[in-house]
Amino acid sequence: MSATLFRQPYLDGSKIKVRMRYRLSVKAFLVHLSLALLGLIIAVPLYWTVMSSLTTNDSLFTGAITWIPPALHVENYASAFQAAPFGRYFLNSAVVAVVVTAITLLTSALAGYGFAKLRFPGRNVLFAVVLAALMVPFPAIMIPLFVLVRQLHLLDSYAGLIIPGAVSGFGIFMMRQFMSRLPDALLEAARLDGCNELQIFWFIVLPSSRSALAALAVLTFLASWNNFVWPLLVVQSPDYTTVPLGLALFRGAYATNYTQILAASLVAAAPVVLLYLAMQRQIISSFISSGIKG
Amino acid sequence: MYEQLGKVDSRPYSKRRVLAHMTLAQRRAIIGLLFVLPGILPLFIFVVYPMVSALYLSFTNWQLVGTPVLQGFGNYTDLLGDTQFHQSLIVTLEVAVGTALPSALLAFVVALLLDARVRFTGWYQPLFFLPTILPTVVTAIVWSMFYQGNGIINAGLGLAIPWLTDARWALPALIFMLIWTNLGYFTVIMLAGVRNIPHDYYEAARIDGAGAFRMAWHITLPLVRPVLLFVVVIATSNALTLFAQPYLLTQGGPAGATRPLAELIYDTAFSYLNIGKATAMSFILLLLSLLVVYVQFYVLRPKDI
Repeated sequence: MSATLFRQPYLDGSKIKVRMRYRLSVKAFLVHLSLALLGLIIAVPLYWTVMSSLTTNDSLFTGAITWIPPALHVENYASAFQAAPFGRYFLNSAVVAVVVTAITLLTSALAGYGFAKLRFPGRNVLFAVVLAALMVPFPAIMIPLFVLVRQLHLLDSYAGLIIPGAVSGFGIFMMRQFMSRLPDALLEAARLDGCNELQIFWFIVLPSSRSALAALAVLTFLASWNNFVWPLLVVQSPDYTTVPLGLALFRGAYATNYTQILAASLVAAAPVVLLYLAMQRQIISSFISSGIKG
Repeated sequence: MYEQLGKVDSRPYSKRRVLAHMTLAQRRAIIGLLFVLPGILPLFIFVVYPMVSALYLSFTNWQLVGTPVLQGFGNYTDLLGDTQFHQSLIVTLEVAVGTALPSALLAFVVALLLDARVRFTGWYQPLFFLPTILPTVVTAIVWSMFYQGNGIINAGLGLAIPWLTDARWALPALIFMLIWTNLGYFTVIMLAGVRNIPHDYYEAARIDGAGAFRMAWHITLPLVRPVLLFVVVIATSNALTLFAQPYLLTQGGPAGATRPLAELIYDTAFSYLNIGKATAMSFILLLLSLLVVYVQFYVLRPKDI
């Protein structure tokens, strides 16, 4: 499916291309016009956000839209960072997202390989548990999860922030689906060469699963970075506040400091936007293959 | 003994060894379990246990302190007559329907436009997809400014609608933001569906004299129907977990007009400290999403997604 996502040349492409070039005008105009109008609905709010983050509070919400600010107030960014410990929030978000992603990749790959290629009693029952866990929506378990984490004295700690994100039925399922397509002959050959299962996993299975691992890594990192609900439940101090939560708190505290809120929002979005710009095709494919959106 | 060596054993590796030495089978069983344990054990502790615990707590009366007191089906019978609960069920359903249908339609149109084989349309897809990856908090905060009385929506359209403070407009405002957020995601899914359609069909139709609109209506639309239904399913399950956007946009208001089930669960647990009732609603949410999963797997069976 992902193979057909991006335009493949048709086998008879030459013919079509020639014909297209002559019929270009009207059709191309209409298609571009429609896409541009729809694109404006996406782009204008984003453009306004960037521009408004560079103006002053007084020039916002005057009833007129300022498309090009008369002067660029870059200092909004600095003052937002002074008004709240966003540096700390970024550190927290980065720690949580990196650790969550690392744990998810490792445990999902291990379990995915176990389910895909190894035989052991209870395999089907345990895999049914994975599928069940995959289908549980987070709001259905957030309260007992909060109670559990509180009992474990993990409220307001990195461990408390990391745990639910690092537990992923989805990751196990995704890796299992990918790894069951790896040829048995490959693993067999390694086995005959005297590799034990851990060596096969490390030297054969993991390198062959790079694309699936990358997709899982991207999805997990984005989900963790953007997560709001769980930090809202478990965090009680700025020491463990993540960027989305910190941003929401900042807006709550300085509700009318619009330009600073916008500046902080853009900085909060910057890491995922940069990641997206850097590997946009892989990210879009990952979202398609996963069938999920947080 | 030696004559066996020359023969090729056609049985799979695992079967051969299991039959030959049982101890090896035991060893393999342990190895298999060791591989899945680091992934599976946390699932039992942090998903399965909370699920069971939610069911138990839903039969109790508890304010987060002290010990939960068992009280039978009280929370569930309370919910039957609870207008807040009914309202949030309706809001959840309205969000599901209100996002699913326009999203499916828009995504279909955009996918067709992107697939129209016109040059220089390549950069639209990344643009449409961008809102999908933005942090929900950022989207919600920025949109709360768009919807202000003097915000860009009223200013741009020459309106004076109190989007977020009027019970009639708050839900459409929320829904429009959700459509804006997920349009790119639904579009790429739809685009993949559109591009899976064999090109021969269009060639045949073109020879028969069909134009672009007739081909879209008679060929593309029927063939992407599973994808359209998939979009509806995803939009529904998104509505069931919707929390951050209304929480930040409207706090669920005015008067609960934009409070979906997940947010009512949060409010019931952490504002009213009624854990029993909140977990009873959690359990109902779980059942509803199982229903969605059932539809997704057994009714739709999308072949390629």
